[in-house]
Amino acid sequence: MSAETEPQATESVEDIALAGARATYRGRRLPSWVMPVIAVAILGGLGVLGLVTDMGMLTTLTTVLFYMVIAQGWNLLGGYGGYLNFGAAIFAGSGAYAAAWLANEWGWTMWQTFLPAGFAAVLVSLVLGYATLRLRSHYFAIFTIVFTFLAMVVVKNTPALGGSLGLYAFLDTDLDARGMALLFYYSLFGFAVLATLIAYLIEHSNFGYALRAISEDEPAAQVLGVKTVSVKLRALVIGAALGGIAGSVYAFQIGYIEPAGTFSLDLALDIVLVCVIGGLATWVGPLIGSVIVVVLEQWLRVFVPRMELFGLGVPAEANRLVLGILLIVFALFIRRGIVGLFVERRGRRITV
Amino acid sequence: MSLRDLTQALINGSLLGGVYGGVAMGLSLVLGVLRIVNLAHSAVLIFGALVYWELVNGLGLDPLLMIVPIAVGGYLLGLVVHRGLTQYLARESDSTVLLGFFGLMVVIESIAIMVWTTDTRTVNIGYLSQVLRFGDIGVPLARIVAAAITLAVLVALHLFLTRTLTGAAIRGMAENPDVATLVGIEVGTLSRRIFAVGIGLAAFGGTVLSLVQSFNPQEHVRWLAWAFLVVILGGLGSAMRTLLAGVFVGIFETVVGLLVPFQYTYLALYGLLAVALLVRNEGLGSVRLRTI
Repeated sequence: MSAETEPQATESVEDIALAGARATYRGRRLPSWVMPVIAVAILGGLGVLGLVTDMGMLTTLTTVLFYMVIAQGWNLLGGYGGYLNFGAAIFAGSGAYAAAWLANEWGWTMWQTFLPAGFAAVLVSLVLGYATLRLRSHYFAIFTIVFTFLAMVVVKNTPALGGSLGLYAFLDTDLDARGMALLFYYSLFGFAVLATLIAYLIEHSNFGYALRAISEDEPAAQVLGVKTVSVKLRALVIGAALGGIAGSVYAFQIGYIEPAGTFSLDLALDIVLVCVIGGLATWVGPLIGSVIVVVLEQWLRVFVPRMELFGLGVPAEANRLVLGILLIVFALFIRRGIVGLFVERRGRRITV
Repeated sequence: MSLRDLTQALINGSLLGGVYGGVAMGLSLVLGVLRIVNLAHSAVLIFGALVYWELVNGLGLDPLLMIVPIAVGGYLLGLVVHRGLTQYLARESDSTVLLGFFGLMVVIESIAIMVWTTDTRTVNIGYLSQVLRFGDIGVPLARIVAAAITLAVLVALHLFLTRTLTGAAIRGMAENPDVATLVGIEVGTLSRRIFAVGIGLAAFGGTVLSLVQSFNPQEHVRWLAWAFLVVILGGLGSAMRTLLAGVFVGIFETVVGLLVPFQYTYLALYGLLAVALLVRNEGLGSVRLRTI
């Protein structure tokens, strides 16, 4: 075996493969600095806005950050991996319940519950992942919906978690209302920056390429040596940890959680919309998407009650109707989201 | 648990299970033949049940006759959905299809809640509400009727799929749509009709379900879970195996209900679902799966 030529040959093959991958995923119409600048502008803007806005706006912006953290985590498996998860509430909910339980039973404060909340969500995600990630993606998707309902039933029938009455989560501080709001805001802000960083690093790592390979053609990825189940499970677990941590802040912010509201498909719908509108499988997408979705929902919340149809008031459920229609429209026509409109994908998928 | 209780549970369970077969058939057909996961299945089911409730309770029409217009209405709705949504998704990736149908589920559910609110409703079954007595075993008439109607529909579907030329064409499509096109099967037209039949069956499932259970538009996901469980256990597309799986789930639920408090029967059923997923390693992807 000739030691001089062999490594070189392997290297060049790898180079070609990597260049191909880059041509596919980094082909662009805009210069490369645009997306990072948008990301920094959104995050920087949010960082400054927290200090200067009034309380009402602060609550809205907290929701934006809450969605950002969960959506960045969701995007790993749902966007890059193509395994849609309609159970975003499972992980945020288990984190919220873990945090509220610890606060009640042991008097833990918010900071201390971040890790256990993330850990609880990871445990739940392992249960979910082991049962379903060996199946095709649509069984995973349907099972996440079913699992959301299961989580709700389990919590409802567990007296230790408050049953259907729910749990209170108090934060024992001497801060005033604004101070508390800022505390939640900047905790979530920190996690949003962290989540974005994680998403950026994963997008540009072999792990990210492996996930995208799974989404393109899973059997082919497996044949090429991608350990598909383990890669998918890792993506799910990282996403779940972020969701769980966001859930713990949510529990303290809202102060009271109950099963039906915590484990509902509404959060799943919002998170899916955030990623789909922003752009699946892009690290900037969830940032743009969560701003748009929260602004849209706020606008609908103000606008819909004022609307009249045949002289009758329109029920609040019309909000969700609009969101559902929006999801269908994006699924049919704008599949790669807003980021996808500006970033061209050069490589084309060839179907044999 | 006495022998009488057990017999009663077995009879009631198998009747309930027959209805579950009807609840799952539409999902199974659309998944088996068109390979589309109809996430909106349970939303359509509850929507059908709500319209049925409106006709029977609101207008006082006959509960048995009204099953027909609901099923036909479901078929027509299926044609509309196919034209507006499904046909564009036919050759798309799994995730695009899932997004589209998740959106559809949200849309149908929102409309149902906007019109009928989130109240739990029970269909006024009138003359079906008596309980038949066989010795010391009592069986609600509505259950017998609902199970009998489902049985008739599923047997008819089974005969259609196995004994007619169109049925053979559908099985061919399920096997391999490309080859089906090559041998001259009109895959496009057939797909549209099968999808519409699947939605019609979902609406039909809603009517027979509402004969035996009360329902609530907010909790329709529960029926998605049940239908999914039946489909996982029974495999895809076969009417008879779907019926058998439904009966198994019904008996399991009723017998477990004898042993543990009511709220834990849910958990036992979900446990069954998890076991079924783990044991069927490739889920429904095994060889037998695509045969009808």
